[in-house]
Amino acid sequence: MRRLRPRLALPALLILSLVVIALAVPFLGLPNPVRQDIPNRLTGMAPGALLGRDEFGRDVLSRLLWGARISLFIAFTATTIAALAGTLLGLLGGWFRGMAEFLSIRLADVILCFPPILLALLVVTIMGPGVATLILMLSILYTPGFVRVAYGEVLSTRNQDFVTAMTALGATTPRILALTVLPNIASPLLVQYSLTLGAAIVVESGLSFLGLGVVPPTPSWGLMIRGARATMEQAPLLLLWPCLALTVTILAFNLLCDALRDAFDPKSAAGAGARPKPRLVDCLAPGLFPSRVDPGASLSVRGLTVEIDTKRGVIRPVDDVSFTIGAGETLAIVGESGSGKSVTVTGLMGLLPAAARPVAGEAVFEGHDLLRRSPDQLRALRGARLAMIPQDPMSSLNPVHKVGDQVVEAILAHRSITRPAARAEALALFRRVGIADPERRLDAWPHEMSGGMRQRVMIAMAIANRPALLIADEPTTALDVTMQAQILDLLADLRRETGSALIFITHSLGVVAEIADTVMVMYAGQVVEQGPVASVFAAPLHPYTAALLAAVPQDDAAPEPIPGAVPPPHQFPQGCRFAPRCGHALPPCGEAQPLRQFGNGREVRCARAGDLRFGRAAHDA
Amino acid sequence: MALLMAVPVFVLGTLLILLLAQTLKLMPAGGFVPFWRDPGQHLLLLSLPALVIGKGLVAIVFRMTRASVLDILPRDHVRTARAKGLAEGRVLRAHVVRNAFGPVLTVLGLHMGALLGGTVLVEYVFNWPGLSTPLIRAVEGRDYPMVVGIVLTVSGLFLLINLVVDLLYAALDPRIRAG
Amino acid sequence: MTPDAEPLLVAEHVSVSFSRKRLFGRGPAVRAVQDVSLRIGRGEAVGIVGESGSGKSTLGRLLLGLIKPASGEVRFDGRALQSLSRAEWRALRQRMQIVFQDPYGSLDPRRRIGSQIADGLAIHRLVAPGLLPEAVNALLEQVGLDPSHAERFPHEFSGGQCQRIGIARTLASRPDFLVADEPVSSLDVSIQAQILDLLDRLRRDLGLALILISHDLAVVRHLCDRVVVMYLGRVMEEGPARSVLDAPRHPYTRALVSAMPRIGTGGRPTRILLPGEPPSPSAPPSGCVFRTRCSFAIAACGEAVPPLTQTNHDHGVACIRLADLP
Repeated sequence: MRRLRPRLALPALLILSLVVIALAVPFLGLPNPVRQDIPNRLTGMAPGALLGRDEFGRDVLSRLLWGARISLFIAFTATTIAALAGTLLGLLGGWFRGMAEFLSIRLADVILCFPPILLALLVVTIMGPGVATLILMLSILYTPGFVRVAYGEVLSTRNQDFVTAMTALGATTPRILALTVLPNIASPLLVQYSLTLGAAIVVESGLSFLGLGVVPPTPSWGLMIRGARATMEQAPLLLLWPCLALTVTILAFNLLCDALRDAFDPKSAAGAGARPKPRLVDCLAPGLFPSRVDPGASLSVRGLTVEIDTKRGVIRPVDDVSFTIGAGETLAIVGESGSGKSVTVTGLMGLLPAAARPVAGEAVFEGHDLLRRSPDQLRALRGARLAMIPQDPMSSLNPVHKVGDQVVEAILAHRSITRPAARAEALALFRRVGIADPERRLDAWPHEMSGGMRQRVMIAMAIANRPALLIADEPTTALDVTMQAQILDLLADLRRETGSALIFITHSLGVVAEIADTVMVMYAGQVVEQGPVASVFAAPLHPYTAALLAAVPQDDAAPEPIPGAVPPPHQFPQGCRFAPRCGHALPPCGEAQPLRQFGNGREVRCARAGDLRFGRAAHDA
Repeated sequence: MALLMAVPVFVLGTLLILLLAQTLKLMPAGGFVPFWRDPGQHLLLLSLPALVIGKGLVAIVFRMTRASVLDILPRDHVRTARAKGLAEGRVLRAHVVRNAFGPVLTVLGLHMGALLGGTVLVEYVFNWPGLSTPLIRAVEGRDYPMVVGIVLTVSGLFLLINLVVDLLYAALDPRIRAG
Repeated sequence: MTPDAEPLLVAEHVSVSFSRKRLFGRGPAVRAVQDVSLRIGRGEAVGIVGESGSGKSTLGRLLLGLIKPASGEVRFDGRALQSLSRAEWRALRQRMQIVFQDPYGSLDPRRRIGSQIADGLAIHRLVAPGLLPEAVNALLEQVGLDPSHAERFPHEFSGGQCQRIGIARTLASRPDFLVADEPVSSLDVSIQAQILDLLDRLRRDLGLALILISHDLAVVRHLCDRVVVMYLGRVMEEGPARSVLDAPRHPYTRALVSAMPRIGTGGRPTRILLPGEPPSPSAPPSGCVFRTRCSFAIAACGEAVPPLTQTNHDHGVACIRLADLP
């Protein structure tokens, strides 16, 4: 928000100039907007009356600009009153709850029950038309909007940790409301303010148009349109000017509101990058580059590199990743956040977001390169030969479909069997993954299930078509330890039973030790070490692996912190990416390091591999 | 779309009359003929006001649907649907549009209020003998009981519409039913 | 801790339940914390462990007085929290602080971190306004951050750094009691150790009494003197951290300890899988709340809530079948 974007600047500039004009009108030396000149009525553009004269011979330009002054005065005054009253009521209602909440919210609800123009007419009936009536009526009309916005925002803000922290510090309530709550609810209120300004002008001009708003001869855009309608045949242009002024003004307020909303909304701030370039060569000539296929491998990935276009330029969250997993094997990919482990597998599944694309490497699965398959071919594989278990079972099920139907859908996407047959299979799957009372649970909605139960549904969905490769992306991170133990057991059972390969992504070294045969340690987008779990954990070769193991508290060893933090992808170091945090770095570590074979199926990316000793090997030495 | 949102209904109505009736002489400038006397003319006369009232709704529904779909698209369950290997069309139908519908419906219901209010203006512009003429006359004449009567009738209609919307929403989203 | 002196904080039989507002009346009450008694000595570190729904976070907020107990009493330094006036309360707040789980959520995104850290000093007028910047710098250094960062906003920091800022803010008011609610569970492994190290060092340097709420038994075992194991709002087992976690007695603690994934297989107990799911806290089982998932449960377990039986060395277990367990 530091820089004013053009989207924000244009409407803001327009509104600013309108306000300036409205304020400066009396000093512009314009003809009196209410002085009639009947002999010259309806004359066209002429010097002295740049836009002509109306049905009473009044100067149109002057009336137009004075009209802007009246309209904006009414709109700003009424909106400001509504904003102050509404914010105060909403703030008190949301913070103190109880009686204040009841009064402010119910009051707002009652007003919101009436269509705005009708309520306005009701007020006019009681008070008679005029500027004061308009201001009062518009304030009443728009206060509930502010009450609702402020109330909703306060409710979501009051439970934030930083507000609790202020309470815990012993701050007084006025201090918390003014210094902590109000600044944090200001943006949506500002959006509401600009929205309401536009709406107020619409209602004001509409009422004036009906002859129930501003009282003639006071100039107003609505009144001008009303007057010009009568003389439409003789002077159509008279109609055009106020219509144009009104529409442009409202457009400016609407655009300002949209731009403000986008500027404040964190979701839209994360800019989507460019679309991926179609891999034309690969579509035309698949198999142009023959692959070295490892026989007996379920999936063989070589040199996978993924690029993402961001505002700060192209980043490589995954750089030269290679691994092989055989049928029935379990590979654990372990790393901290930002290591690129999730991007690696989403890339393999062809589920990367639009801004990301694999730019190099190959991933041979059942004889074909996944990275060079067409979207249709990939879709036929996904959910069938290649299935995925997501991290968050809460959000990964569609809340508006029954869980049984979602499993049935997965079956029917790949096999032409009848719906009842698919449902019978879903029932068997539910039973297999240990869902109690499976017949009833098929017809349950996702929100009726616990986290562990939903993860079982996700697993049932993933194994529905007997995949050869199962990719589990942190499947137990969102679960409690006793649930985690259940799910890990289930996955191990299923793998033994079906003989499918399993890629298991996790940040927990303990889970790796539980479930995996081989482990691949990732750091800042690269593989730093891989090999059989037992030997890697007993004698890590890479300083990062050793440091990770030492950072986990276990038994009587105190956890040893690793200094610093994982760098963001646009700040990856040139040479060894771990060197800035490594206690063993030497000058050669400034150079990029290749992944080197180290015997017994071990590979490591470290200039000092071999001359450093960690883990049990170090103690034995 | 932004322009369509911005132009007030009575301005659009007036401009349309200026263009279609006054300048091009394609249509009558407004008025009313009972349906049974001349169905064609009735519908012709109805078409412009209906179009003008509908414009606001089109703009609102367009914006809301777009925002709602953009909100749903990056969600995890959409990725699950893709991971199942569903065709893109099915992903959009069953897992995006279906979920995006609720918010659109709610906003639609709430905007019915502005729509019903806008009708007063549009009827006036097109000389359509609906509730607006007696209403405006009653306001001008400070006929308080009459105004209250009409306002309450229309507000009742508005509340009824919103009740229907809420019930529809509950039918669409099982979470609402539970809460 | 000398036995005759009153401990810094004492909770006696505290309970609290929540209920959601419904259209008509209120929904079923969720019994978040039931009949929990606890004492924390000066400078002592107590861990509260349990899974989601165990009421451990609610208990932490109860002890800080951020939530009022429905029954029971919390005494801080010999004074019952319920009996305090507003002003006394605010003065007491200075001495009891909280560190949150979400490092970003606990900082106000719209204020510079320096001014947020200064809040505690300013509210309780601990330093003259002119000396605030110096005091803030000292606090930043104490938690291992560069004092020149005071003018930055929270989003310019990493998760670990935000957690350090949160800790600096709590230290500003010079507390002698700190509740840390899952302080490292949203951080990466390498950063977790940094924050644990910091908490441990501060506790020893400043003589803080610490309540560490965590689901990670290894963290609690490393940092705490004593541990309280909770399930569905009730205490299952409590005692010295090592003795409870190395030789758990209660069937639930045993299952919990065995379910923790461990690196290396040495000394690993065979895993006890708990059947099914935890019951809903709005309808807990009668008697022992754990009995529905306990493989040792007998009919008598459903009849009365088992009392916390002392075994040895302050080690208490709430299980009537303690003597019969293998």
